[in-house]
Amino acid sequence: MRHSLAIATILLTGTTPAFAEFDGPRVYWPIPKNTNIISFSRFDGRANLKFPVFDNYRGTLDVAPDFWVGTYVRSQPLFGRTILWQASLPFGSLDTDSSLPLGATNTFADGVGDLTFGAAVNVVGVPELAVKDFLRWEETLSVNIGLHVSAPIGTYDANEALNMGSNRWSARLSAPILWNIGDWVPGRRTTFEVMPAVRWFGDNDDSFGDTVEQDPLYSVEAHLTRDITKNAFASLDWTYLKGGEQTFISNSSGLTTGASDEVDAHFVGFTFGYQVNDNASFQLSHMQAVSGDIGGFDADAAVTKLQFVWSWHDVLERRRDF
Amino acid sequence: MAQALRTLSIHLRVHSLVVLASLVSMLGLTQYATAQDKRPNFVVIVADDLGFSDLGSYGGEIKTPNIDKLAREGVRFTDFYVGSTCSPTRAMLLTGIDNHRVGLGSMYEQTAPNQLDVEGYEGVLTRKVPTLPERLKRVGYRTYMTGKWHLGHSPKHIPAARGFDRSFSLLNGSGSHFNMRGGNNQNPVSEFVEDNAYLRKLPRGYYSSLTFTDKLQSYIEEGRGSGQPFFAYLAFQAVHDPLQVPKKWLWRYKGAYDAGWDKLRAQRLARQKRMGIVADTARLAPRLWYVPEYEDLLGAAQVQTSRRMEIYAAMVEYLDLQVGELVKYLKRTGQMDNTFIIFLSDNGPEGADPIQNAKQRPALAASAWYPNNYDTDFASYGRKYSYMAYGPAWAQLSATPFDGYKGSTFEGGVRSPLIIRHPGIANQGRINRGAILHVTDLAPTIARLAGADARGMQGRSWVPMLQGKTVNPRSDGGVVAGQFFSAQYARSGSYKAVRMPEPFGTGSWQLFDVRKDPGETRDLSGRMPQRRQALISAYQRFARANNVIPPNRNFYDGLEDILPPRPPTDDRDWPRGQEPNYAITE
Repeated sequence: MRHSLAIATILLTGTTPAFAEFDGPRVYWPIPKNTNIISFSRFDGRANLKFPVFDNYRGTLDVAPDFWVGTYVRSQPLFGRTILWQASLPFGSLDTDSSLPLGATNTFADGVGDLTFGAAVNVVGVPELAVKDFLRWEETLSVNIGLHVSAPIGTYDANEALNMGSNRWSARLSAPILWNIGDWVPGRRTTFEVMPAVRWFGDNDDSFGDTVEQDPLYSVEAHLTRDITKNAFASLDWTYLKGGEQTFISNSSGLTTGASDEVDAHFVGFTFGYQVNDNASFQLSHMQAVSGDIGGFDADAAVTKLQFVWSWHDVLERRRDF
Repeated sequence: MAQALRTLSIHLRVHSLVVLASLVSMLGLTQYATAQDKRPNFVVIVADDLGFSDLGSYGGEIKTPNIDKLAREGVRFTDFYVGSTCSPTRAMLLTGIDNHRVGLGSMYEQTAPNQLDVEGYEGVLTRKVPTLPERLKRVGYRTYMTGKWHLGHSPKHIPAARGFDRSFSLLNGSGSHFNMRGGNNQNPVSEFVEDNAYLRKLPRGYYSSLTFTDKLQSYIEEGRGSGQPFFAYLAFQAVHDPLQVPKKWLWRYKGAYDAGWDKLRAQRLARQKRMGIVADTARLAPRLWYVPEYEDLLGAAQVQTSRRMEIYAAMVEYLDLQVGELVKYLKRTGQMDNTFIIFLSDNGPEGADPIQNAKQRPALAASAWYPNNYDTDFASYGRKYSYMAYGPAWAQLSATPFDGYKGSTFEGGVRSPLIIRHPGIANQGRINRGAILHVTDLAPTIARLAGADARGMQGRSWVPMLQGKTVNPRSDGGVVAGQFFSAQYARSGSYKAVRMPEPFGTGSWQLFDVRKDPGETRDLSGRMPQRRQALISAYQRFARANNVIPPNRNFYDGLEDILPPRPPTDDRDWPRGQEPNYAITE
């Protein structure tokens, strides 16, 4: 029973940080080279998983993520294109409540998560943009290729099912595509954005004495965004996750001690973004699982993200004096 | 009774032909008009607020291949004077009479308190004088007009009531180029008429330059079978603000103006000198004192301002494309060789920026009207919902090498390109730098070529010049003069006396040799007081003859308080204080 709970917790908390990886709308919009962006995203939500304990009895597990992700992005020129360097670090806590035949338990983990770093480079559409080019840029279609790696530096305890860190490397390859529909004028922009991605996982070689192997997890994000005013936009969001079967192998016996089916879940939601001024903006997103199957278990999840962004560019800063 | 009228009508028609034939014979114009059905057609094309140097054939870098071809096949004139603003020029063009005598002594929108209810200042083209199309109709011409009218809104003042058989026109002075949205809070909705009908909606796919040209073409085509010659007046609304172009043209000049107004003005002047548009001694008028040096702007600011000129240039090229379409049509239908094509601008380029003006006066209704009706942000520049004007710095580029822009009586406000193309005229392919011409000359010239009555017109006929018999219709020292708002000028020969209110001018009469110094950089008043006085006297005669009433209030009032202080005009760091680079002889 404890093992079931552990697996369920790992499955669910292993998936929850994926929320943090959802890029969200308007992330890959063209920006001038040498722009700096710092953002802090607060994730708040819940995930509920019903999992088998005995043959005819199912336990429930609720996870309440409550953490931040701090991200720094800088755009730089690369062979005539723009590359976005990125580093992000989650920090905060995860809290689980489980309901089992013998009673309820609560587990809590806090600390920092795994460090993610990487880059996305535009390959179609947007050349390297100096500020003067950026001001005159008319977006049509652009394709980016992104590669981001997560390093296992997060807080981790092998004897806890619940951890902020994952104790394994992973890498995510994505191909965000942005298609501008209509005029590229604030207040009138409409875009359709699709972001297919795949994440490969290294092994977590110590989880309750097991090694956890996970197959690649595939995802597709899609966003239909539209300016509401010159400073605000709304987006309809959809995300699909598939794959990521996990296998638990005993380090002592080499035998498989548990396994899960693949994730096959659809999420829909919305985002509202508001540009406060030339530097500051925020976005509020909410995602809801509409078809949740995590590891073969019914899952119900929702997450709300509130993101604060501060961006600056030397030339644009001085421009305001004109 | 009906029979009697019919008989009288036939008699008059026959009589007209007899009079016409004798007139044509007397004037020796058999080259153009030997019989009614051989009389020439006329297409008068007027661009709105186009600068002197914007066309490629006048030294500009904007691609205007079709108009340039007309220039190569016809004659370019360098010293052609128009009104400093729109409706006065149009009134003079269509009557051959000074604007103060035909109702446009001032712009309708700018009539001063002391001009109200004064004859000649009605703000509409008075019905007391016949228009050129009315005169042409009487001798059998078909008459068409498309484009901006700006000479009256009421049913008795619209083109259909002023001699045009067919017309499609914007009655206002400005407005959107894509729809019926007006140009300012005084005219929030544009008025359009097609013939006698006031329109409630515009044709599908309306864009001013495109639709005006298409309509005109359709009118010409419609009347082609009649066997009558035609007079067609194509009054483009381009390139009046708001500067707007079809979407595909938005980026046509991307980056083309990143060199800035200072370098581009110098480049235009160099080309003008090479082409022979201006004398080798010509110097650029000093950059307006309140316009920064382009190089002093930050890169982002440079882009923001250059974008304005990019849109303007695209708009000019689009206008040129439409001229090309019309020429193609005339060629295709075999009418080109019997058609005079005359191209001009109505005044100098527009340096005022209504959006900036509105922003500086936040208490006025206009400041709220623009943002409520147009997008005025940089990103929207050029689009159909945008309002943008290109401002004084780029207007100075358009006016190269002149000083001043629209509204001014410096050369930048009143000198326009003029191209005349017809296979029968003399000096084809050449630039005529000797003729001093005025927009009131057009009507008598066309009337004479068409065999119509030109009595009462003040302008001088260009027919002898077009025949190669003279270079200059004012070789006798004839004066061209004008008064607009509180600015005046008079020109005779090479010299021009001009009085511009402060801070643009000194408020006193200045004297310039505008042949050698078209930039009006060196005031010769001290060296040639007699010539100055002679021109002032000539102006005063003009003013008396035409009932010129200087306004007791106009838009120059108070500009000294709004604009930054001007450096002294004799400052040797400024071109205006430099010695002339040419010999001065009385």
